[in-house]
Amino acid sequence: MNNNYDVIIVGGGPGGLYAASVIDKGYKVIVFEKDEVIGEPIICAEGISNYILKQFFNGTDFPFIRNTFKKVKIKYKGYEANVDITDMGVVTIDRTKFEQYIARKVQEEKGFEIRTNSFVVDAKVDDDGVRVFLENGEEFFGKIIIIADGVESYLPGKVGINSVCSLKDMYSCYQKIISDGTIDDDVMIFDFTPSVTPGGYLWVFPRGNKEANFGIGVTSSEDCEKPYKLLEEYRQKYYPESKILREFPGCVGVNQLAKIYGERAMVVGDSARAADPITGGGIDNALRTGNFAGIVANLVLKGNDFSARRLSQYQELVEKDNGYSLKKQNQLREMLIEMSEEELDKFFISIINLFNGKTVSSDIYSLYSLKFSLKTAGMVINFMGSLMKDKYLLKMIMKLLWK
Amino acid sequence: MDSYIIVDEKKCGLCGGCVAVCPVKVIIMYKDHLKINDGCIKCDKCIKVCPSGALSKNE
Ligand SMILES: Cc1cc2nc3c(=O)[nH]c(=O)nc-3n(C[C@H](O)[C@H](O)[C@H](O)COP(=O)(O)OP(=O)(O)OC[C@H]3O[C@@H](n4cnc5c(N)ncnc54)[C@H](O)[C@@H]3O)c2cc1C
Ligand code: SF4
Ligand code: SF4
Repeated sequence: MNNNYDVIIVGGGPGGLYAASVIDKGYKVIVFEKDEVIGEPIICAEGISNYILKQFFNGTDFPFIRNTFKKVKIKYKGYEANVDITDMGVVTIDRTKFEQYIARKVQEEKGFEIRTNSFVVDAKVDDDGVRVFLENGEEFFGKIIIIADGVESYLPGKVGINSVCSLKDMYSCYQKIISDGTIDDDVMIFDFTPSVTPGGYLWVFPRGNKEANFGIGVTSSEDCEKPYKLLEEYRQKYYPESKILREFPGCVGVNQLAKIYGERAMVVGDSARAADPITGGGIDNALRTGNFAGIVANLVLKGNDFSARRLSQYQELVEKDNGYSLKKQNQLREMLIEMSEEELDKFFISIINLFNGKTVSSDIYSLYSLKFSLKTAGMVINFMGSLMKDKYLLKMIMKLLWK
Repeated sequence: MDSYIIVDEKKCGLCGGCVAVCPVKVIIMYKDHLKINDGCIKCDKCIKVCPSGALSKNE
């Protein structure tokens, strides 16, 4: 009975790998990844905060950091704010090294299997367990399944969890890795100008050595030019001399699924639409949901009860987690999408006036310096919290302002 | 029968966006190519989401 496992994990990205790394040693666990190599190919701008990484990994000297930022530049039409974020520890990471780092923990510390080149085409759940089918016809059995199959989120539907993403919840993105003498490695740039990037933003996240992840994301329901065209226009305007090292499309779905568990199943990361609704950043929430899925897997394996009722703990833990404020951020995203251009002008110009020349760090931030109505203040801080990948700001504002 | 949606493989970067929005889940993304199964309801959502313009109608 070689093909019997305690836990089957589909998807060897940050979500699936991190979930595996949390499951207790001694259980029989396998991760299926369709690509040949863990960590390749990468479709990501690689921005995250060190503060978040430290919540999930021991140590401080991470071998996968590319570059640390000192400043963020927020652009909107002709306006811009330059904000000091030296204390925020916002970095770009090497996603390939990052995923391989987690994979090593899974294999070496836990002794679990990671099978690459293994595309899971179908899964079925019944009273006896989970059955998983590979493209080559092989069949595997598990007590539970953790689905971490990324944005395409193909497998949840197979086990009765609806994960179809609506167009308005999907960022359609395109990225180029560019090399250009004018790139300042210390500064990350966000441009929210609506004509440049309808319902989204453009980013420049330097990777060091004057190279940058340069990309754009628009809301898919917007009637606009395709991201690859919008990005190329911007490149020709602002980085005409740049060399393109690699380019690729990408998509991120937001607005977390109503239900992220089922009978014998849990859905994590992008597959659960767990990314931040404002920024589309989802590495942190892939780790966060992966962590809870791993914890709950341990509990249900011990208790030998794999019912949806028991697994509902997973969703409870995810939503109770203080750092997890996706619903509020999603409300804000929906408000932003519906704002008229005049309202957007007001919103972004307020942000720019408020933050230009300031230093932001989680502990010194004080609310009373805001001269707006509480609701606007809430929106502004919520927005900035997302941008700076600072869940502490978000938590504070939720407590104070959102009921 | 040719499918309603055609994929320009040169433009497709296998990002998964079309798979995510397809309401009837007829698009499957293999390691190195897309496959569109029968059952398409011609909603055009995949065309709208595609960042690189790799999908078009077979007209
Ligand atoms: C252009 C772009 C820029 C981004 N920039 C950032 C950023 O700067 N910061 C940030 O935090 N987030 C960013 N994100 C989001 C981030 O990349 C995702 O949130 C993150 O990768 C989610 O991790 P995951 O493990 O859930 O999914 P993924 O990383 O997508 O991993 C899923 C894995 O499952 C595999 N798989 C899928 N289906 C199957 C199957 N059926 N069988 C076997 N294997 C399967 C895939 O090959 C893949 O390896 C960006 C996204 C895009 C598109
Ligand atoms: S047109 Fe609609 S139903 Fe047909 S493949 Fe595209 S998204 Fe799916
Ligand atoms: S959305 Fe476009 S680029 Fe992405 S997988 Fe589908 S066809 Fe390919």
